Amino acid sequence: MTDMPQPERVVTYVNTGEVVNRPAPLLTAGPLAWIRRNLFSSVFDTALTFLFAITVIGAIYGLVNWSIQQANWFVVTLNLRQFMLGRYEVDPEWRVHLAAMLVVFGTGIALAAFSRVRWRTFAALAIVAAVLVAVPVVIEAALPLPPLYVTAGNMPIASGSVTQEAQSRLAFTARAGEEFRIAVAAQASGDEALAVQSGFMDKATNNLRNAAESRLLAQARLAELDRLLASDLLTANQRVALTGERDRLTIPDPVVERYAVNQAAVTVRVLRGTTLEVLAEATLSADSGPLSVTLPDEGWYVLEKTIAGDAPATAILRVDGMYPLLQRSFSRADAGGGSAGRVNQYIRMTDNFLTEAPLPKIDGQDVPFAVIIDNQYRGVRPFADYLRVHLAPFLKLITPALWQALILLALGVVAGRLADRFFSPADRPRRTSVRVATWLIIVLPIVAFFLAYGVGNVLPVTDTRNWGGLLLTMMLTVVGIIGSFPLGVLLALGRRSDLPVVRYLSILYIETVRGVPLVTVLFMAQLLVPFLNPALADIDAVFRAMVGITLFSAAYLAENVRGGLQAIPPGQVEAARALGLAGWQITLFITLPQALRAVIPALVGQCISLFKDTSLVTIVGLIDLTGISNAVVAQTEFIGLRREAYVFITVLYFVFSYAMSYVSRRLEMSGSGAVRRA
Amino acid sequence: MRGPGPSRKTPSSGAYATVWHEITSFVFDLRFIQVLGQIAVVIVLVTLVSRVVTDMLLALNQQGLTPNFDFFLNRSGFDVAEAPSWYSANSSYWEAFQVGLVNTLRVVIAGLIATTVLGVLVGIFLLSSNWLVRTISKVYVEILRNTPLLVQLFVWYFIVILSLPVLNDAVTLPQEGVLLLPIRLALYALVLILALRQFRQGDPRRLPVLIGLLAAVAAIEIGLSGAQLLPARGAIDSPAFLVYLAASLLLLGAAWFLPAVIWQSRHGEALPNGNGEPPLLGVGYSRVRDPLAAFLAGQLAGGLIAYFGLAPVTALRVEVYPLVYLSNRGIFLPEIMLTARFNEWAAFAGLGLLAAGVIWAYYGRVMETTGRAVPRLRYAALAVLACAALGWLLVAMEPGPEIITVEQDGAAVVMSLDEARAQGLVSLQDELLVSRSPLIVARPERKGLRFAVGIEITPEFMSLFLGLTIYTSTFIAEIVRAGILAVPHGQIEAARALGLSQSQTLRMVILPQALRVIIPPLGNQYLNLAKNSSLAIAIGFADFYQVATTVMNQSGQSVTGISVVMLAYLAISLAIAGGTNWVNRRFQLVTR
Amino acid sequence: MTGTSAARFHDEPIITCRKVNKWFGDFHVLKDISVDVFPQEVVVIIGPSGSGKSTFIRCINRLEEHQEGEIIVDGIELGHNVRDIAAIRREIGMVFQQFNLFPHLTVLENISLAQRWVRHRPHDEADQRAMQLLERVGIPEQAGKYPGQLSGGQQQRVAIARALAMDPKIMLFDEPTSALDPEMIKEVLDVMKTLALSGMTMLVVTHEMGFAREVADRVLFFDMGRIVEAGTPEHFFEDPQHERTKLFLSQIL
Repeated sequence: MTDMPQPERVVTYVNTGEVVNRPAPLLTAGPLAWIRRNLFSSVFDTALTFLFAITVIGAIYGLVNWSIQQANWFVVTLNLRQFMLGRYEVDPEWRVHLAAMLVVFGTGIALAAFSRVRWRTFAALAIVAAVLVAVPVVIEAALPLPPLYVTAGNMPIASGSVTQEAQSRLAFTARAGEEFRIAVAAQASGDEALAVQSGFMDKATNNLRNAAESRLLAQARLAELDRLLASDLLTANQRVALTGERDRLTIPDPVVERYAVNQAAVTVRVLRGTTLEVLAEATLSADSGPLSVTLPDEGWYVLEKTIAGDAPATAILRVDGMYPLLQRSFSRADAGGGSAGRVNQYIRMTDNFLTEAPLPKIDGQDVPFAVIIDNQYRGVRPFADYLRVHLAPFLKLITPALWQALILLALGVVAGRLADRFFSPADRPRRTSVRVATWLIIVLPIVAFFLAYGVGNVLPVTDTRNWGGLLLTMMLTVVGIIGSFPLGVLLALGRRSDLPVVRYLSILYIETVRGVPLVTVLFMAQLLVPFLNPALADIDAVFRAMVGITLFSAAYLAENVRGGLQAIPPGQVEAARALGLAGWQITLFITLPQALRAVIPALVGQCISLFKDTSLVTIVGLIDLTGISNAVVAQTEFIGLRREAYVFITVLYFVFSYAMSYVSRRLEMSGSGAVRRA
Repeated sequence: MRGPGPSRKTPSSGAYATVWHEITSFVFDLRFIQVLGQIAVVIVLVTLVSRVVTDMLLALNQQGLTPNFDFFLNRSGFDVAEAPSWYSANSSYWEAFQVGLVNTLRVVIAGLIATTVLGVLVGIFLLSSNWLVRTISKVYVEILRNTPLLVQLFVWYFIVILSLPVLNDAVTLPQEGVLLLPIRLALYALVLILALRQFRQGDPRRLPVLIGLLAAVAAIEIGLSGAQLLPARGAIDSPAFLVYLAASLLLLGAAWFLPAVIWQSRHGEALPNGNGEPPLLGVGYSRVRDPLAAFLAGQLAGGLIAYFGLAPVTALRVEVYPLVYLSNRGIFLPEIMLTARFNEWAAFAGLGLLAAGVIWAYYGRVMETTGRAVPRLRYAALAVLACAALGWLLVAMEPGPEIITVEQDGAAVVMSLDEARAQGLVSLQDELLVSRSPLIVARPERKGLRFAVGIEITPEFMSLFLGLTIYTSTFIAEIVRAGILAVPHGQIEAARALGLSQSQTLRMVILPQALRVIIPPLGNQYLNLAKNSSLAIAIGFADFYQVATTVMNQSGQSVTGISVVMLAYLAISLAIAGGTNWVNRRFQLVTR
Repeated sequence: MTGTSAARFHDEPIITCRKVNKWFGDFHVLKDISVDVFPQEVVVIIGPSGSGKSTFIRCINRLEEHQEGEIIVDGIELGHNVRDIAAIRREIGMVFQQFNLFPHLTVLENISLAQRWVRHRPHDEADQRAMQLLERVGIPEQAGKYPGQLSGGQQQRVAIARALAMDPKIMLFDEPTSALDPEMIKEVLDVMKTLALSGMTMLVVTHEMGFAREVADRVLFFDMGRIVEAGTPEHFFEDPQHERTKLFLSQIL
């Protein structure tokens, strides 16, 4: 080792050469480095990355798949008004719209006052909105509506324990000039094709489809059982169970043969709903062309379909231009204020086309119509059908509101900027808009409430029992926050008071309320109060809930405000006292303004939790956003569609409370909520 | 400007002014004003409250529902969905309240534990250096805490739990069936794990050995499955094997000695030893040669292992039976049951605990007096484990009955225990008496639509538990994250500079400071969870509030009922608040 | 010496303290403090920290409550009478170590707020007076800013202006320069000197010995809650009598 050459000793390394900045090695900068550092920095990290990626991709894939292929979004589009307003009367509906617009306008002013909103943001939003408008138009132009499959036949069709007869007559609505086409469906050539058929289907067709599907499933299961029983990977238990299943399993005959599907000719007639005159008539068979009719005017039509001949047979017909209908019936007030009797509305679910014309009658009997429950979309829905049937109508429904909101928001910002340009002093360029926005934050909710509720004779008072959906949720939140504010501030001051009685009473109230669940408070307000004092029973349930929420919220607000009060250095009060200010003056001018500014983020946080907590009124029977979704899925037409309803309200709740928490975080970060100290 | 009668101490003041001053100084005395104000508040309040209470009592009296406590002993007349066996419709209201309270406490305690674990985990994920983990955790937190708990409960109950398959098709964990575990695979997995460890420890000579092993085993596996290259497996005289052996040894020798020989002939001196390590087998060191030789050695060893059946083709046959059933009727878990021999074993375990205590105390003193670092936690745990294991062995070795009377086809038959077990004739009660082990895990056992054995978790309990746990965990995650971030980075740097390890830094520097910030808001979240458990009524779980509502509806005793409810929740809140305060105080003391 | 002082302060004392005692819990902070302050006099209070000097001047406008003895300010005895307290506070301005400006109000609003609500001046007049005082302390250009945007010295000058705006007869200074950087101390002391020269009655707790020597009419030395030495600055600094004073001065000078 000693004979090894020693490296030359460097005492000082003087580098007089040109300074050249070399690029960083590949894995210390650039996207590759980012990926390595942030995703695969160690073995454990890599494992975590894969675990999370697989979980999330799986979850997103499942959700998207379900939402495109299976979810029935009609529960949202057809009940949108209920989700938004509950059963709010139709006549004063404009007042709620006006209130919403005012709030959006006010938000615009607030944006101008408190944030650095750029026109670029608006341009981006406008582009998004334009796309939202364009998308449904493009979709409707490019993609056809999926057909409705109906079955004609003279034999009962069984699937499992359910047996269904084909309907011979079916009423449907159409607009003037729409084309109606009917042909024998090509899909019914064999069980395999029948089982994967998708589209709107009447019950009989659905039974055929289900029968085909279950036959194929039974076949597959049989093969699976044979495979399993042949292997030695079964426990004794399993072998017994599977052998039993194998013995019981029988494979029925092919459905297409059993019901002689599409083997006989079908006679179809299209009648006008009012006069029952025959508009078109044809006998269709599997290889004949379709019967096509242009329907002359708006209203009801009747389709008649019968198998030609007496031999038992069925035929699946593909119908374009006829879609399931939702029936809504309600009583309406006439112009004089009296009841005009019950009204039936028939809404075509694919485009919300609505008619109030009475159902056609044949032989004095109502013709069965393509009712929504019996003519659901069945089968795995292709993406195109999802776009055409669900996405486009939904977008068409919401884009007008989005546009209005966007324009009003922009107008609000413009108004705020203009006001600043003309009225704000040079050294405080946003004073006017800040003042206006601050006032609006206090005044607008009150205005909105009275617009929705009504004022004396000017705006007729609405019945709060009909309030529901997002409207009720918002109103409960707004009234809860505004109502609890004075009480909460008083309680906070009381808790810091020098007077023992006041202090202990405040503590007693705050801690009691904070120690019990909101449900018990609501229970007292809803069920106990009217029971105890009949005079209070006349007050609407909504108001009683508002009082309960307000009393509950005040205790929490008091604690937040107390936090702000405690954060004020004692020197502030001393200085004020040394100046000779009286106690109430110190509170009003010195401590409260500072405390409130300091706790704005916490107050927004409380808004969020109150907004979420209002959902508890569902438990005491009000129909807020949560309650209405339970009510909606209890209707026979929409039974079992809880997922869709909950997904929708979850998104709504999330959007609003995330927006609030975003604002709160911005306030916290910028410190604009806190007092300017640095 | 002064008021009419300031207490001006000037001789010019007249008698009138003095009297006036006396009066005003009494009225304007701060203490007087304060007392007067408080009395006023009390009077107003008492008047108001008495007015309300009188009205209320009057109304109630008219309806014949004067609040009282007598109804507590009346027959309840309703069933509670999730009640212990002693409760029936004939039990009293008082007992119904008890059942409800127990149910509330069950879900609250389980929820508190689970949400803490989950919340801390997510909180740590929120601070992860892994972008994906961080982002996904953030999305999880944001989505779940920005939607109402009630909606989440509905989703858990109606959409998740009630969508589980029916009892007949219950999801089972693990799935029933037979597993074939090839031992060979386990061996390879072992080699792989070793290889990974070597890779991390970074000795340049060990990794090639392992790669060689793997390569050889892989080669032989491929050969076996493909062309049946080595039909005479395990026989020492197989020609193919002998060729493999010879070739490997030759290669190994060449790889080891050739570089040295070549170097010597070229440079006329021994192969230099790179970084001062002692030469292996007297021939210096080479950065290329050593790994190559190591690889070849591994390759040879791998071949030998595979060839001589150290990696047999046979597999273990393991029958797997389900332990957990998930269905829309609930979740069924195995039950750990104590047999007749449990007490004996418990004595051993107790002895172990005692020993652990002694060890803990003894080494504690040693550590204090000598400053020597002793892993006393490890010693104590070892003592407990050793005693428990020894006890188990001794208890199980004790002879038990060899024969048993069982019921077979309706007749009592005496047969040997083993045979009876094989035929599945020993009932659980008998098994508890004759089993040799102190504890047995009883699998859930179906009897028609119910489970006769096993712990049942109802869908309602499960939904409430999941909803509360997951909702609260998002808030706890944020608290944990904020708490850890609240420790200044300088603290971590200082700890590192002192030479504390990562885990020591976490344990001794970060956690104590973070916990001080974390505990108070954490207590608030615990309170929220307890109060939110009252949402059980929305999904029909028989918690305290739900039972109380039923009682109130039936008895009409709303005032007493709601008072009991509020008192119960106040007591729970108080207990939780007291608990967190106690922990908090201890922490502030310990860390100071 | 006392002769010149008495000649200058021929009036009745404006502040009279007799045997003032105060306790914080069990801790006896002020022990038998008796002192008179005459109109236009500048009294500087010095002493080691914890000696009770801040507590003493805070007792004078009843930011702290004393338990025994009497304090009479401008003929009004301090007791529990809220009117008397309010009246006394109107007559006394106070400047704090930590400035205690109201951070949510602009400089102008800081100065005009109490004028409007305590002195009941109209808005315009209060603002005018505020601007006038800001000019006097040399920072009229900062009127529209918030306290957080000013330097420490500027903030303290605003605080002095705020106190002066109430037209007090007496000014209390509680270590007005202790929280300031050295270069800012001078600007504050200059304002205080001008104020002293204008004839304001001032009680100043400070560690600025130069200021005491130059401006004070009388120096009080506090130790352990007692006044252990009092006298003119010359007397106090050149020829201290008490051991404690000597020790203090030897350490500080």
